[in-house]
Amino acid sequence: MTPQAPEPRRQSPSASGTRPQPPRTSGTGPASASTPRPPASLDGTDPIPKPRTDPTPTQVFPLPHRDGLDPIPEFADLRRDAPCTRIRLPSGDRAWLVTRYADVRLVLGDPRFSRTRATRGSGPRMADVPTLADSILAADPPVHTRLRKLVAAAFTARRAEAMRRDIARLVGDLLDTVIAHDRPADLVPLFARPLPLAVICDLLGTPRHDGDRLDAWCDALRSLTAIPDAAVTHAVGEMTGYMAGLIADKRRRPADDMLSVLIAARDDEDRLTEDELVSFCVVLLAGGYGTTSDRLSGMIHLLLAAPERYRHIRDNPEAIPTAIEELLRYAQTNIQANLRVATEPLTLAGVDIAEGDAVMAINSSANHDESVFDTPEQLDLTRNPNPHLGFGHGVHHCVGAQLARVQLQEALTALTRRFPTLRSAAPATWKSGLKTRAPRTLPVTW
Amino acid sequence: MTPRPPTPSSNGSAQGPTHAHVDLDLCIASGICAATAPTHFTQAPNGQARVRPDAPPPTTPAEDAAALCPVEAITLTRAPAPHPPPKST
Repeated sequence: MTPQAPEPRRQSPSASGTRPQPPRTSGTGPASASTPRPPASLDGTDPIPKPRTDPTPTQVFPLPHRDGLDPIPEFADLRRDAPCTRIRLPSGDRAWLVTRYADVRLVLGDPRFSRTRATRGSGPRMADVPTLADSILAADPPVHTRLRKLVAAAFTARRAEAMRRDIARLVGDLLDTVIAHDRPADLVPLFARPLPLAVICDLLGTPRHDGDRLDAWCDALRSLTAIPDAAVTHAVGEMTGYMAGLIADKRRRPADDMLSVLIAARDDEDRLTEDELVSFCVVLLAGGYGTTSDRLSGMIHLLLAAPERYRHIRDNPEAIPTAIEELLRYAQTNIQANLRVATEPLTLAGVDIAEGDAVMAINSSANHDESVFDTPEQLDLTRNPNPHLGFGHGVHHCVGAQLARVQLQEALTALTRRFPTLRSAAPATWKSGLKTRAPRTLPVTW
Repeated sequence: MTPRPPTPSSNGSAQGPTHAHVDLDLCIASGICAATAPTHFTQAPNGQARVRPDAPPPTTPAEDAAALCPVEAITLTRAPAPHPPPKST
């Protein structure tokens, strides 16, 4: 996929009346360290905080639970009226919620927004639970660069393509099981979970048979309000301990897999610490399994929710890659985002952001920005170009994006070929209280 | 895991690469390079990477950006140059 220019089509009024001109990441953009930055704020780069009135937080966050992945009206209202608005986090800390495409892309790509400061030290926090402070998701460059370079070559588009045949075989085996199953069948445990579980476990070199435990941990890691803080803390400890055990096993019996490569980088070259190693593997497993599984089940739900969608990709398999990009754009999966902390004062959507302020930039909302996408509330499986931010942007752009694309493409291609009459047998049931939205069950028949 | 072909180590010296190139047919606008090596890369309005016209010879951040590109769209080369490359600062 080659995204083309998102053409601004509408200059909507904003609360501040000072909407930045999208995109903000062009040649003179603030992401540059080599060109003069635009004035950060009236008080320039002076880090001394001046007295200011903290606006009353809106009640928009966390959003009320809704089943499904369809457009979120609260985000549309915010994009129109308050694209950078004050919210209260589950921890009680405050943050700025950012909802427009250009601003989201800027926050995600600009080094003035730090992940490290949102996870270490005394800065604002999402919740009162331990974070994986040594994980790659919590790192800024140059630490992030050091860690990501250890695995980047294994996650390139070229490597993902080389895995396509094995992935197609896995998909075929799983669909054999579905065909043999009584109807209705639940595609979440039969298909959406075991595919990415096998792919990431084989890549890492970890056992495939712990899916149920991993499910529970992945959902706990994603809890916003679903379970008590103590239960999240417990799950993080368990999953970290599980991974530490696998690492110990692999140290005794290294193999041709990513875990062995990371262990060698730790033990032979001292390129990462033991805590970084464990956290890195937890993130790879949680992202490779839980996130991909949720995305796949969500896509199948969206396709079956309007049967003409399913028929479209069944009858046009060559159009599946384009359709998947649209499903990635449309699905309102993320209803929050990893916090960033501003490292200097700056202005965002006309709002002064102070040094030390937390910012939450929502890619789901950016993907429905009316100034970038025509009729964003429509799921148009032929939409192209489609410069969505479904995999994020900037240094934390999903490392598994290319591998996820291959899995999703093979999964939907084979599903529609082998189940041409697939249809929903009952409404999906949904996970709730998590940072992401996804089906818990997907009963289908054929 | 297949290692990526080694990129000549460089700090902009005469032995290292002198130019960065972005293959726009491959670029998926991840934004990784512009965030990793902002003195070398920027983004076009459509998000795709561009080598800055005023970019110095590739240094470590540019090598990192090439190594992190998920579609291997960035190459660092010693382009045949009729004139000495600009001095790095």
